[in-house]
Amino acid sequence: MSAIETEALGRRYGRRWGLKDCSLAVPRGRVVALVGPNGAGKTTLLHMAVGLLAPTVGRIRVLDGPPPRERPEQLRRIGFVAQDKPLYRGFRVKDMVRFGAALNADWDQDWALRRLRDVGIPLGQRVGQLSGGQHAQVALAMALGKRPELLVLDEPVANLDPLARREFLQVLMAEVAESGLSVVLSSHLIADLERVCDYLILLSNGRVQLAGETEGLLAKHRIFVGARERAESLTRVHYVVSESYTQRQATLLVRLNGHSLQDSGWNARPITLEELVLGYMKLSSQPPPGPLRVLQEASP
Amino acid sequence: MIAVALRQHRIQLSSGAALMIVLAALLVWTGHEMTSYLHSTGLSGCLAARGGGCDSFSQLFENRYGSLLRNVAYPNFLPMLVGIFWGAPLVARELESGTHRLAWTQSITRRRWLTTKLALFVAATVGIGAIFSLLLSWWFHPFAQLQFQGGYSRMDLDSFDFQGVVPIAYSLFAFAVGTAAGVVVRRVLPAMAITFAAYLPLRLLMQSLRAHFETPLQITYQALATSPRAGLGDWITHSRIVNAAGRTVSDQTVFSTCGVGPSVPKSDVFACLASHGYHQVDLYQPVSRFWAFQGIESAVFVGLAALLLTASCYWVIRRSSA
Amino acid sequence: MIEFELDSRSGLPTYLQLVQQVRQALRLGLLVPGDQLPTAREVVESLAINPNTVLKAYRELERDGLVAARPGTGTFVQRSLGAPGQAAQPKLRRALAKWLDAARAAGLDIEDVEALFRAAVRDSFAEEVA
Repeated sequence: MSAIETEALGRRYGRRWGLKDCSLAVPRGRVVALVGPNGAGKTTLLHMAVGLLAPTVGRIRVLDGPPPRERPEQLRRIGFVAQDKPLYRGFRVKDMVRFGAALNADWDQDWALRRLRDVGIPLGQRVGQLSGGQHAQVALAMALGKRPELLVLDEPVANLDPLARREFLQVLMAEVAESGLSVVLSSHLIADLERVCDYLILLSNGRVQLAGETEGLLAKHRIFVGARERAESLTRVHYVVSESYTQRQATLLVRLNGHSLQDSGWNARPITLEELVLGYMKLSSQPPPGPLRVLQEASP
Repeated sequence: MIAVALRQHRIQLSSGAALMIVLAALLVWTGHEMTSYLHSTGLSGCLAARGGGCDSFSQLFENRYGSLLRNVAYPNFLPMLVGIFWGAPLVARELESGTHRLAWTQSITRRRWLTTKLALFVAATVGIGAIFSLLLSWWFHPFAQLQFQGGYSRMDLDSFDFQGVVPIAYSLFAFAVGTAAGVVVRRVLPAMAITFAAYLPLRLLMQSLRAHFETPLQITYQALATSPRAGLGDWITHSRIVNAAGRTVSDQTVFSTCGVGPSVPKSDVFACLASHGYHQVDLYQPVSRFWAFQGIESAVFVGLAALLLTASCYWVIRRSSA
Repeated sequence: MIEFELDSRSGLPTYLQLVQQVRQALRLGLLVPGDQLPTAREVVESLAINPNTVLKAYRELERDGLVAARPGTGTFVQRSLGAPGQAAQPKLRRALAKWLDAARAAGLDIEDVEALFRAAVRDSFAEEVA
């Protein structure tokens, strides 16, 4: 049972490939963080998942079925909030709710109204006059009102102040706890999503750099700090994702390949998600060293 | 979806309605004034009597309301407004503000979304065109009576355009141009500009072709005299003077040859014209062809509108990349 | 009811932090058998973390026999925790003192000792993740 599955998916814009060679198998019931710098292809991938774009090459499947571009009925099961969270500015909040009810057969009006009341949004307020956080909550309610199985959010917490961001994620996670929803959120900052995601996809330059359950990815990597001269002993044994050197010190982000960790002279410590992401992003910006640069983790 | 479309476009639709109300008020007010003037001066009675000799009455009417008639060309722009304010923003506004990413990920197809909006606006456009045509036909009625004095023809350029079914066709065409422009350029203001730039030339082109929808008829009569067909409501598309050999001569040549002037007695002038074999040749379209011409012109514009709207649908449903 | 906190810089996986906080609460008598733990939804609503993390923590606690999940009702505390390994503590304390002597004899200062200790703790407890 997968939420999103892609096979050599690619999308070209004129002469530039926005996404290339993307193969993923994201299981259901996860909160997926799709990260990467601006222009990496995150929006392209998400738009293909929700039927706003058609692939140039390759295949995509959503919720074990054809993508909405091929089968529009799939949209009943997918909720989407685009970047900048578009809403009709001239509408009042209650007009937006009516909009949702009119265009979605599975709309749960009671749920939507209750949700908006719980987060304190007055129904008579004009959308154009909502605060950033309120606007985000309305957009989220619009996407969840049809009680989807998959929720896709493009940069949902960018441009939100820390409090609004926290509230947004609280509401979102509560919904996941309630309904077992699968969620895919994109961001160019992993820090925003670290707390909530259990699956990570890293895109850079239109390609997948990293994909897998966060737990597994973190377990497979360490940061080694030690004397610069000794760096070679490590690089021979493990796969070094990224490295930085001062005159005397080497700091290496290493992907363990099963060999023993016990190497005195090296201070090994676990890695945070942010360091992992940064390390792989640095990797992608350098010319490819040769063998496998993409790490795909099979789900446990 | 209809309810959503109405809510979304209520300002556009109600502005159109408001404009029509203002137009109606203006036309009813001036029309009423003109009609009562016709009655009170006895001009209508005179015309009804068909006895002729109503020139002085007509002149009074012409003096008072002539300028109004010459300004009547302005309503020509009204169908274009449908294109600019209803057509151009229809899709472009959503594309420009990104709300299409909201609208196209609800549970209805793009096809249903677009066709519902188009159906709504096409119906409103037909309605607005029909009202426009009825109002202006009613307003023109007094002048139609004046036809019999060799004045206006129903098929005259600025009269034909406001009556019958062509206003509906123009409005539909303008709407379709606006919609298509909006779909292609994805921005409202440029789409409005394109609508303006595309609508006018085509309208003017059709206007100039109108004289040739069917082969014009021809009548020859004495130069500078009143046509025997005067008062029958013909649309004279071309008028020239020919000599005995059948070659066109310019008015100046005729005037100088026969010394036409205020002090010269008419009988002398006509004798001179006859001796040189000068004749007036009018090309005309009889008013009986009014509905045929309406049909032809409407068909062209409605056909173009259908093409543009179909192309727009295709573009939005199949091709558009978000 | 226990209220969870999150230290995003501790290097310890979130679920382990939750497990630790429950154990701590049990040790201090803030939680007693019969008490209900907050539902995943409640925890997540306040901390904005992934619900699976909470479920994982509760499963671990259940595996240790400290709590039991009753479907449809909630997760409840089963038994209390005395300070663990009470008996072992004096012995461990002595071993630790010996180790510290050896470390200081080798020339480590307090920061070296702490760094070494922290790394060893992390490795030891984190290995349970993989």
